[in-house]
Amino acid sequence: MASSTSGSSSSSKVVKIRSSDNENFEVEEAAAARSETIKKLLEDVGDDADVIPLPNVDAKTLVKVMEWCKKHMDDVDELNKEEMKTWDAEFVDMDQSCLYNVLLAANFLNIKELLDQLTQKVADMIKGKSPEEIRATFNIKNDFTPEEEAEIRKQNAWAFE
Amino acid sequence: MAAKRVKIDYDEEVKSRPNTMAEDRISLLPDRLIYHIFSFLPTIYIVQMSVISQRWRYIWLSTPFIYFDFHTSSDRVRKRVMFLNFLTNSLRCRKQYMRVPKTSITSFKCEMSSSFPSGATRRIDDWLSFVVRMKVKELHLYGGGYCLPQFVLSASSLTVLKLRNMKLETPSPSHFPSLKVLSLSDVEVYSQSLQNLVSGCPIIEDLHLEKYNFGAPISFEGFFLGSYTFRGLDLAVSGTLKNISFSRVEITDQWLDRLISRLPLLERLTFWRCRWKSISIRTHSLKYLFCDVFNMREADLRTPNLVFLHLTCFAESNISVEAFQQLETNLYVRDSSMNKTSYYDLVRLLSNLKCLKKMTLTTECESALIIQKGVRNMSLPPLPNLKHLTLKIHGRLTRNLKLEESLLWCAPSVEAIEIYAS
Repeated sequence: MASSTSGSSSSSKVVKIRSSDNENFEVEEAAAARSETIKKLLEDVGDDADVIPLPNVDAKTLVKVMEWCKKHMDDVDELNKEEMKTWDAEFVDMDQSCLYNVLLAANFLNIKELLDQLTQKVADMIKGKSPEEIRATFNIKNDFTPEEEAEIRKQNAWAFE
Repeated sequence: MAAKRVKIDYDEEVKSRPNTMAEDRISLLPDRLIYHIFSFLPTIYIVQMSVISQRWRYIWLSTPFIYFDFHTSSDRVRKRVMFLNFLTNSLRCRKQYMRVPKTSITSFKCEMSSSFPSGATRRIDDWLSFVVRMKVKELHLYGGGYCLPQFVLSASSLTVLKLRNMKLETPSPSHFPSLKVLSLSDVEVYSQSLQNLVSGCPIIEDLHLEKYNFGAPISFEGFFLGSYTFRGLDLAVSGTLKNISFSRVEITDQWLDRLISRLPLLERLTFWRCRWKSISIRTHSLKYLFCDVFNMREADLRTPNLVFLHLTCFAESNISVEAFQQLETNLYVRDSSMNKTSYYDLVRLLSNLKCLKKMTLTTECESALIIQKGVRNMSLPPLPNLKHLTLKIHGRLTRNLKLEESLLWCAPSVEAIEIYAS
């Protein structure tokens, strides 16, 4: 439970960013700077920046990415690590199409920690599954002939024992 | 221009949409991202993925991340034989593939077990010898009491070395000209070996030393992490060090003082579940200090440039902090059985922290923070400049109003108070 006696949020610096589908967002600079790409752009243009265009990221994905950045704005100390872990686990629990969009955005925006979390999530979806189950999970089409597949299994038998 | 604040409304929309997704997007990811995914997977899964489709046929041979996990499959005896076979065959394949230009191995990670078959050690040695020749950058070796082979101690390409639950012997100084991160957890190592290891790292930035349990001390003289103390160890560590963390070790003031006096760039210092009686730290460079120490009674911190401080102590602990720009403080007050003197102690403790902007206060019960009127009348508010106060209470909240009144007295300039109870 949380209660608040008096409240006024701190007025930190805000930057404007624009998604590929031309939506503008205002984000705290400290959050946006979690992206190395945005940080670099901000350094390059300085205070003259009007809106920073992000041509590779659509609005929906950008909302998601910025939600993560806002949460990860400050350093996390040892005591809050568990709390943050739970939040992160819930954050990456999204459907696959969304997952890839955010993954590619994190890659483009160069947010290493987010990229780690998302690739870890995909790895967890692979872990413990048979090749057939992996195909089904990720909708991968088997383009081998039965003979080819048998041949690969034979070659790499030491990994299938 | 129409701009809007970021709102969290995305999930609902995605979840309410029927799942019509049937396209294969993972196979379209660039190799680099697939390798990134692979970096979290034991290599055996990646080899098994070779039968999935053409896209996945050979990609395991070029991944720069090697990861062996002995615990991956279930049947123990079969598992041992299979693991040995797997180590041998995967090494053979990778050696062949290395003839292709531009392939590299960045990281080698191996989780072993004490029930390792004897042949496994030699095969791990073979792998290590190969990856060292391939100029591996990161080594993570866990478990099994495995003893690190000597040739690794001159792996000049290494930037990260993390060892857990192993043996380490370093009879002569190591040679790690590129090493930046060194982490030893529960590693059996004599103090001379540790000194030899650390003295060979001229550009090291991060050092992490951890012992898991405080169990019975091992009776070797000078045995390092086994006896959980740093006494007598003269750690000749490079002045490039920026971040040190000690977990579950015993520390003495003199030892730490000698260490820190040689580290002009030290920015972060973490003590996690350490044993230490009275703390004294003097350094100009330190910005972040995390102190979770058993039974802390006294601390003298002369750290003028500190911006973050975490302390776990008692209301009556004698703390003095010299910090001029310390913006954020976390304070965990242990053992909340308070009497009137302890409230004076608490007010003194809070005031000694000289916290300027943001504070998180954790206690075991709320009454510890309800400072009585009598005490308030005799004291000055301890946190005159504080802007944000967060309170975490282990237990139920009952006297919310009295608590708020007390907090507002402590921090008259506060703009926001958040209270969490668990």
